[in-house]
Amino acid sequence: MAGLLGLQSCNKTELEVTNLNQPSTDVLNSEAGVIAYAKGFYKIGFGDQNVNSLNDGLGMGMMLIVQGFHESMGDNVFIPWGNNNFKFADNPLSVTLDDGTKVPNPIGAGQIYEMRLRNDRAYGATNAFLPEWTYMYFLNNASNVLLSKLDATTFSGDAATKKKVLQGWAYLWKGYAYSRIGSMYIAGVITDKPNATNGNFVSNTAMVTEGIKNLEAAKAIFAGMSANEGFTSIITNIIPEFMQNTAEFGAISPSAIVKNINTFAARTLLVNKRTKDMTASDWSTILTYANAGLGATDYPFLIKTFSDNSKSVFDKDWGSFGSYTAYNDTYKISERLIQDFNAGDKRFENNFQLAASAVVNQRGRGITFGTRYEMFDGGIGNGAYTYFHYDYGTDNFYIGGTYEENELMKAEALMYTGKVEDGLKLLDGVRTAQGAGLAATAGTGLSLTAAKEELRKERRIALFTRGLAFYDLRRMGYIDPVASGGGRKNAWVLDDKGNFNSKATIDYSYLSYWDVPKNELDFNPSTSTTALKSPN
Amino acid sequence: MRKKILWSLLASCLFIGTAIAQNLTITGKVIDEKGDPIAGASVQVKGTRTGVNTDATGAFSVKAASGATLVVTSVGYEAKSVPASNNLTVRLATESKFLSEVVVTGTGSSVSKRKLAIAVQSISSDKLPSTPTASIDQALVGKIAGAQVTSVSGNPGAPVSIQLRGVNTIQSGSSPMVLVDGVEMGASALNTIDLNSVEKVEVVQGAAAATVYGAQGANGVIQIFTKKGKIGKTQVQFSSRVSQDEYINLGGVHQPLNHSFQVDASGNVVMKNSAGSLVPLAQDQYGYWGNPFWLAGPNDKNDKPYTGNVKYNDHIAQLFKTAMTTNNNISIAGAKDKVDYAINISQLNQESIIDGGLKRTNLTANIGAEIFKDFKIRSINQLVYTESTIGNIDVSSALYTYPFADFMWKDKDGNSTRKMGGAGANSSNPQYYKQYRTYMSKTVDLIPSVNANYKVNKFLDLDYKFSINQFNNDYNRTAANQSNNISSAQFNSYTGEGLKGGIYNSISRYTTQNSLGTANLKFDLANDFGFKLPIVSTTTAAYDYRKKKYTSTANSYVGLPLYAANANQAETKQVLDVYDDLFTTFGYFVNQRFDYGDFGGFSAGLRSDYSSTFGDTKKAQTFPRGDAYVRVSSFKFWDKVSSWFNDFKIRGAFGEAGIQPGVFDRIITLNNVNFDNGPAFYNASRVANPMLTVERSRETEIGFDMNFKPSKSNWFSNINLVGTVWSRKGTDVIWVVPLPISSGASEIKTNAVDLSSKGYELSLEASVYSSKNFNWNLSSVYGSSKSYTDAIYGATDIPLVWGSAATYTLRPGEQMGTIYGYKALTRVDQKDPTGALYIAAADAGKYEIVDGRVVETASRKVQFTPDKYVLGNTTPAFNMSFTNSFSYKDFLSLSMQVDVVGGAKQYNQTKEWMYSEGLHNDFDKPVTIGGVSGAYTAYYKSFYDASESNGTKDYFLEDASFVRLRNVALSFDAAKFWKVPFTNKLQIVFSGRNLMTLTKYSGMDPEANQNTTGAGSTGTQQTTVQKGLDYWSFPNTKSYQIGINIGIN
Repeated sequence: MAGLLGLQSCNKTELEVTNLNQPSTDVLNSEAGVIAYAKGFYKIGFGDQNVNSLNDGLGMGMMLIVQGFHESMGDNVFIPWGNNNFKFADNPLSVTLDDGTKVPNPIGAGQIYEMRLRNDRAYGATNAFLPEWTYMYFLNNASNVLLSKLDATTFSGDAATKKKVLQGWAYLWKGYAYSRIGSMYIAGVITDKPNATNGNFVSNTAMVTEGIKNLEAAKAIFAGMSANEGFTSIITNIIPEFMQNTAEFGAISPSAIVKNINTFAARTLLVNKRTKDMTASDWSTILTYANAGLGATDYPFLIKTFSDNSKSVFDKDWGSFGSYTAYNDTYKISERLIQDFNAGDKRFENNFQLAASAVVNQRGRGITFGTRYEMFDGGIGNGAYTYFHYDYGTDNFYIGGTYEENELMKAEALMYTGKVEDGLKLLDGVRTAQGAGLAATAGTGLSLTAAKEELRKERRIALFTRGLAFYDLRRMGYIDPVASGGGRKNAWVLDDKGNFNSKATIDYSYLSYWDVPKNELDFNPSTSTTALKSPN
Repeated sequence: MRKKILWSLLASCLFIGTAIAQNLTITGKVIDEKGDPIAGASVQVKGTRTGVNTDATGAFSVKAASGATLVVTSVGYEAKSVPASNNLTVRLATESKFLSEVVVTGTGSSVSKRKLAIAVQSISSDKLPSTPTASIDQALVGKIAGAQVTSVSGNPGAPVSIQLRGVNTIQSGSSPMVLVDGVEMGASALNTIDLNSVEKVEVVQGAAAATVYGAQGANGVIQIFTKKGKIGKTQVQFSSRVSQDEYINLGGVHQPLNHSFQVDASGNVVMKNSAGSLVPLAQDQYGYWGNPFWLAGPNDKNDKPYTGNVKYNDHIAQLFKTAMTTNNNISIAGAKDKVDYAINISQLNQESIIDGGLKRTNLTANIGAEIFKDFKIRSINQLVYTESTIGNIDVSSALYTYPFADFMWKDKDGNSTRKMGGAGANSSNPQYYKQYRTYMSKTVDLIPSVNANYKVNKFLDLDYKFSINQFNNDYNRTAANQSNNISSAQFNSYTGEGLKGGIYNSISRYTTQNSLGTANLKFDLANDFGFKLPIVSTTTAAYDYRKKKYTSTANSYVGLPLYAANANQAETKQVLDVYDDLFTTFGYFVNQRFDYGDFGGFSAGLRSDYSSTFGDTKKAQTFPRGDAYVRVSSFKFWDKVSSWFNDFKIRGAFGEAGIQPGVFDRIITLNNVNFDNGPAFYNASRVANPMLTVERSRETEIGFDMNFKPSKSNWFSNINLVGTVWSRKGTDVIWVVPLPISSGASEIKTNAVDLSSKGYELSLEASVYSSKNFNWNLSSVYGSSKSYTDAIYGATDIPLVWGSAATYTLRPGEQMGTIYGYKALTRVDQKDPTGALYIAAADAGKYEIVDGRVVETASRKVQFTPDKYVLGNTTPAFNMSFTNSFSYKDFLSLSMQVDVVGGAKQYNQTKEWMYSEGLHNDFDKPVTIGGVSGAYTAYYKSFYDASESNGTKDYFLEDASFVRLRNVALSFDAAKFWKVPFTNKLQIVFSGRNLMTLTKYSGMDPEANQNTTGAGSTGTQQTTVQKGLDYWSFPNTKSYQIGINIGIN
């Protein structure tokens, strides 16, 4: 027995097992560790890393699921599946056909009711409010953790610049995360401490303000910086190499980062105010940011896929909005996107075709879940822009703003401030850049109304797949109930017998801002009086 | 009484028994009723410390005073006192088996059932049916009183669900710990063990009995004892069985024979082509169908036959087939002098009723030897090699495709198409997977153990056991190159790694070690020291060490040539993942037991464990225990009834046991991905919890064991009745609790839940009729249990979400298994919980009652409450089983086992999904709405859509109680009938499994509820609490078996 008892003392050390499958948090106390952590922003903010609470069987990630919400609620595509609650998120309340017949949504009681019903932990990952909230707060926290580690880290070489680049990187993505939360949710929390939060919920406008504040903080850091060795050694190591030095954009510079910030700030301000309420001063702010925004050859923040899937931010085959739309029939092209192409637009024939058999009222879930068209990958090679290539590494999946978006924001600001022709020139420039092959609009004497319509359509066509469609439908008032002046008129719709209607009215009646997810509130009850539910 | 015993003990330390003159050498032999020798019987000189054990021939030699009395005892026999005389032959009568059986599990040392204070069920191999799968877990169905042992899947190799005494933990399933001959088999699955090599199974169901096992004992223990060779002629046995297995479809589930698609004037289903014209629905060269328009408006009926351009295909028939299972076994066993051996070789070859099969070969050798006097060594080695080609389980694909798609369709090259286009949204073609995707899982299980036992003297017994169990698995999923399949190439539609196919390979090794040293010190105050008080003291001390190591590597080989090739010829070869972990735990067990003659006894002890998984690893977790029994029938007053009420024991036990946290659950790490310019780190969404501690279960059980001999006639000569009532509390139960997402993580595993369970169990064994030629025995088990969530820390409730299926939620104070959901309105004037009418009085006229539910006449839609109610509970009210065995002489026998699961509900999620697109046979059934009869599509579809699309509704929560003829076997032994020389057995056995089931359940099989698909890619497991959910379950099989058993000596 004594011998047996003796075993205890030898064994106690055996209890100290280590998990060598993954790095311990101690690695964050080194230069290499913080650099690796800064690079992890791509994965935690945008990648398809497994988050149990978000996995509803359809896939993971900002570029697949969150982009799916923006594009489907923006009626560029439809997603008839129950996963992630898509079938309710993008299902209008009713459609009035050409003959005046009103076809109510055959399932559920409308988007607002169904979305709120499922804003509960009992619905798990079916709660549509979860993904964007989760990815953006994870990204914000990663920024907080990074900031908290920098003071204690000893850097080699140009330590001051290196530290500043990483600080700027953290503020940039904090600003991005707050801006996106404020652009989608009615309220949010501002939390700048690592792995911690607070119950002081603030309104979406305060979130946007905080977002811009952080973007400005990042801008201040990068504005005065040169692309010296300190900058380069960090920036080329916190962006996966296969995403850098693209043929179109070359290397990223401090000034390109500043331009990215300006474009993104312009977008954030543009999409959070109803267009009808925009003042001259608002347009002026937009224009100021956009004028300092991305040019055609500036490196925009993007993600590329990689042939070795384990090095891809998301699955090279099935990780993006484009792959689900062009290939596996998960997201389907909306008739309303197709109707926004001008006749002769080469981008249409380069990417879309009539399907051999039209989809009609898919699964009996609603007639907006029907289409005659499908998107294919790779284009036909007519020189126009191609939305999606199945080949790995070809496409740029944009996570921030782009040159085209920046130009169209400038165009819009100009049109709304009386410079219609100047705006049209920029619009024509975007069409030219994307090889649309359309005749110039500038100089044709378009009315302001006609110019705005061209702009509305061009934003849908040029920026398709970039996650802006819902913002546009919201700010232009289409998502509001028809009874309140919203809805889309003269819409293309196939009724349940497959008949084509071109003058239908779609009553979307969607939530304009999403409620705070219940998963958050159940464990972080609000201590403020800010509304946590959208007023509609 | 207790005080007296203690005083006596004290006295025993002061006075050691008086020596008595030993002047005679008595020799003799101890034999049983048949005259066979009894080895190892104890021959004790009464009132002295002198005693010996008989040798292998039953002989003994002992010194005794003249006129002394010898007390002869042996386990399994009635004790006998005889006057000492030379050349003595002592014939011992067999003890009633019920009392004589020795139990090891949960006691720390072997204890006769007569003196057992805890509930232990022991099932000898002759009571276990020879199921077609030859697996222990299948054989245990219906054999353990109080347990829910259910065959939840008919997929070969799928384990049986074993839940002993209610829900005890959420994180790690309900599976009990498995011991083989006293040591843990931690790596291999229970169904790895060959039933042919099993002598006996013992089951202890919870903490009261499993305290001996400390931090791993809370889920109970199943202990398997392998067969040993016995003295006598060498036994050679051969058996061979073959069975035919058919799928069970009790509810007659099929897809509707009619449809409600839009048709043209000729009755052809139509589609809209790219020219915008309506044309007959067609299948293209790739096998893709166009998109039909499913009409589900108020006037649309599911009454159009599949004619013209569309034909009806029976997808159930296209998916399932009849399968064969064969099973062969040879065993050789014997013993000579001081060595015994038993060698067993078995081979199982089981086909799946869908695709693939399972082959298992077991080699078992159990060899024991007495190296020197009282020192025995035993080595038990099992080697199991299993090859499984199971993997294509496409129940949902098959049932989710419209019947007009023919899975057997082949393109111009003779290939299947993966997708069927507009024939179904979530569908894919099982035949495609059969053509291109194969599975091969090769497993080598090594289960070696050694046992050294030394009886130092009559007081002290030292025992050491050591085992290493290793599970080695090499798993390959091969997708052939599909690039020459025209549809795959056209639509980039493939299975596996890519269009050019590939191999996913994982190699894993799981090694568990268990080292267990036990010392038993036993004093018999009366026999050893001549005290008058018949007190026996047993002290047990044990040290138990366990180590578990798991390693795995996942590899991906992408791009295979079109000709036959292995992974070596793949275009790219890549390591996807490497993982290894380590777990160590060790602990002590001490126990002191006193027995007072035959009257009663008590014991108390504790187990203390350390573990690498405990939040503070330096801190031990201690689990106390105690038990006591009184044999009421041993007292004088009982003599009046003892002629018919032979034995009556009351017993009670209390104990605590634990369940360990996950191996690395307490260790915080970062996630890691390697980009081309180095690693990237990021936080895990689930935070590790350094404070995690062991889950603890406290259980109290009180029970009785009774033996009746009601009649001296042939009828009911012997009845045993055992009953136990138990109550259990679980604390620190581990589950995942959400975190505020804005803090940067979404969940944490923590000791979140307190739960409790209570229940009772009864088992009955009766000799219904017994005569020289004919015997009829009945055995029956019954059990009932309920489990509750008592408290939740860190959350108000915990929904257990699993795919798009009914949600089970843990709520404090509520019974586990409770289903919430929407109720169909049954009255137009029905009121909600606030007292308001669901349907405004003014609108009442728009509704009518159809089949007991409110239907809106115009829309034909069933109305459900918008509020959620408790709809029921999926925990069965009771599990019960009867086995009747009849034997005529020694050559003919018949046994029948009937299992009853009563008061059980099951959520038929499969049916709800099939309702979503009109794919369930119910859609053919006409109903009368608005005075007009018709198979209204909108009516049936509304069950899916109403209140909440795919929401949980009372309509789909069905009574899944069933009575199942589990087993029936008729055997005839020609060797006995014709007295064939050199054979002791030449038996032919006809048997059947699951031949008949009575149930109201409308799904395929009320027992099948292990969910195979439907959770998408969610990694979360279905937990113990979520039992009773049928979500594309794999039905059990109905099997007809014929077997032959030959014994040679």
